[in-house]
Amino acid sequence: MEALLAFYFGWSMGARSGPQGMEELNAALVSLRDSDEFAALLVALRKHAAHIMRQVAERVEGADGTPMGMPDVLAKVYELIYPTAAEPAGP
Amino acid sequence: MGALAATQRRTFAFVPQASAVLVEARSSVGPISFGSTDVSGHIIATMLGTDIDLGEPLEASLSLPVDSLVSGNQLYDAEIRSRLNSQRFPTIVANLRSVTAIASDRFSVTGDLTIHGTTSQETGTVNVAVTAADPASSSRGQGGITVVITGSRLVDIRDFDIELPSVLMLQIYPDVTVRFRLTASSDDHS
Repeated sequence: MEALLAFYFGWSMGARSGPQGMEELNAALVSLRDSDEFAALLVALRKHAAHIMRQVAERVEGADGTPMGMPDVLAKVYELIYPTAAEPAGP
Repeated sequence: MGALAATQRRTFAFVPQASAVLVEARSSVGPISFGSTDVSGHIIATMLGTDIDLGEPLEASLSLPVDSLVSGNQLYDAEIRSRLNSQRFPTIVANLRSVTAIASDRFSVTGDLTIHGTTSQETGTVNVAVTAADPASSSRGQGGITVVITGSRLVDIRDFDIELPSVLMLQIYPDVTVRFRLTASSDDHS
């Protein structure tokens, strides 16, 4: 969080201080990119995005990822049509 | 089986959970399959023991609700129901026309297949296995007979006046393979 505040402060000052201020702003940006806080923020954002995508997938496919138990019907169909494929492998 | 075996006219009913129809199609994003076990119908045949007497009239009729065909993807299921107009034509029906023996367990079968309100005469080869249950195990003590019919048939869905299904970027190609395993059983002596 400190790095984020430092970045905001640097950006504010750099915007007002001309070319020299911009160099300081770039340095602050690089420092921010390499900071642990920024890495942690990226991880948190990725986790949040993954969670949202999982929620969307569940809504599209069904709550347990198996749309309304339909795969059970298909599994039964395959078992009947291709009985040898459904047999367990021998010892 | 035997010439000495008594002939019996029997009615066989398809057993839904022991019967299955699988429609295997190709699409622009890979194979896609629709399956159902909700098969109903009957076979009326004259049996010589566990042999079917083809010298006597043989009747068979099968029906399958369109809505029972599922792919595991609700978008595809909705699309196929829409293209088959399941509201207006809710059932796929097959009626037997003729049977010719190729071998003791293999037959050439011709029948009328009705999908989407359009009937097409189809001919294919099926394998038939007939087994007789132990009379002691039958509920009526007469000994049931089970017939298992398996086969497959390449069908062009355009023959049934069906528009090619498409979902987003997925396009289903018109030639589909229909595989089936139909189990019918009879307990009666009629």
